[in-house]
Amino acid sequence: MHQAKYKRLDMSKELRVVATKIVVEMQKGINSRIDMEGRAVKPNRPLTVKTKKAKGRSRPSHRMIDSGNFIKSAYKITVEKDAALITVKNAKHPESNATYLQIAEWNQKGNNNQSVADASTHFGMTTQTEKKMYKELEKGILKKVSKNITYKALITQGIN
Amino acid sequence: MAKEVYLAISIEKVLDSIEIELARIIDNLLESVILEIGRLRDMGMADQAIKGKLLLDSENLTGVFGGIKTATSNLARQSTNILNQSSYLDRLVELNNETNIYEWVLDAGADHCGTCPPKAGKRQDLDKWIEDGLPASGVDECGKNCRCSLVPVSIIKHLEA
Repeated sequence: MHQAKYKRLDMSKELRVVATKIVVEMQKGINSRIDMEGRAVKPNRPLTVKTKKAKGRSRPSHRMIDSGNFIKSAYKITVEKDAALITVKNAKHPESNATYLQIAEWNQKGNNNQSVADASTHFGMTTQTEKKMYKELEKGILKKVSKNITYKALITQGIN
Repeated sequence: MAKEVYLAISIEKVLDSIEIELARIIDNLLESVILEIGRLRDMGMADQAIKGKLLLDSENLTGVFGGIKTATSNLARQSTNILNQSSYLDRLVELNNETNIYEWVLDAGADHCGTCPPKAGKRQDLDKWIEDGLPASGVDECGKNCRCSLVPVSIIKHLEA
């Protein structure tokens, strides 16, 4: 058996692209008030709307959008050669006593102040996105696999 | 749809599979190249000329390299199939090698059956969870409707960091 050389594929770049697209989808979902299951997100409760109006917010009934800090700064992507992790930062929100993670959890799962019935799946990925992600990774794998075969080296190895 | 606020995408198994298959493709290609070199030498062609011909074939993906496009396309397609068929387990990712321990987490938005809540917070090795039954594997009263999840302790640590 001849020992051909090959390298393990580094898919970190492609995974970061995919992860970024997933984050963008989450941001778009919050912005358009549609959750990851395609359902309409419930508006803020009347008391919250009143408070936000008093603060002069332009979209007082819009959930998870107040100063805009969350949608812009909450997400964190960590990438390795063969894996990507999307999380919400456990850092303090600049205009709140809560962290981004707490805000995300309350809105995703509900808590004492935010009832479970009001919660919505703002964090996640739709089946459609999942399929697109696989296709994107397939394209990346094909490109990387093709690059991984060094014909010149193979020919030289064969001649020698 | 997951209720957790983290999303892990692991293609480790896909890359393992590709590595094996790619090695096989390259080995087969090398065998074919060696056979072709032998054939061309028998025809009296000089090594320099053989090299030139094979380099041209490799650029155009013709001759002994003719099948490589199909082989690599099949390989990439195979990776999508693995991803599509990937089970609940394949989506989980370990952030480091220190642990293979997973915690049973209840979905905050779901109604719970009688057998899941006692497992909440329990941590054990993945193999043990497989033995005991994974969420939605049908072992609990909620059967396939189970919305619990197994979260790698390493991820929980990451979230708490």
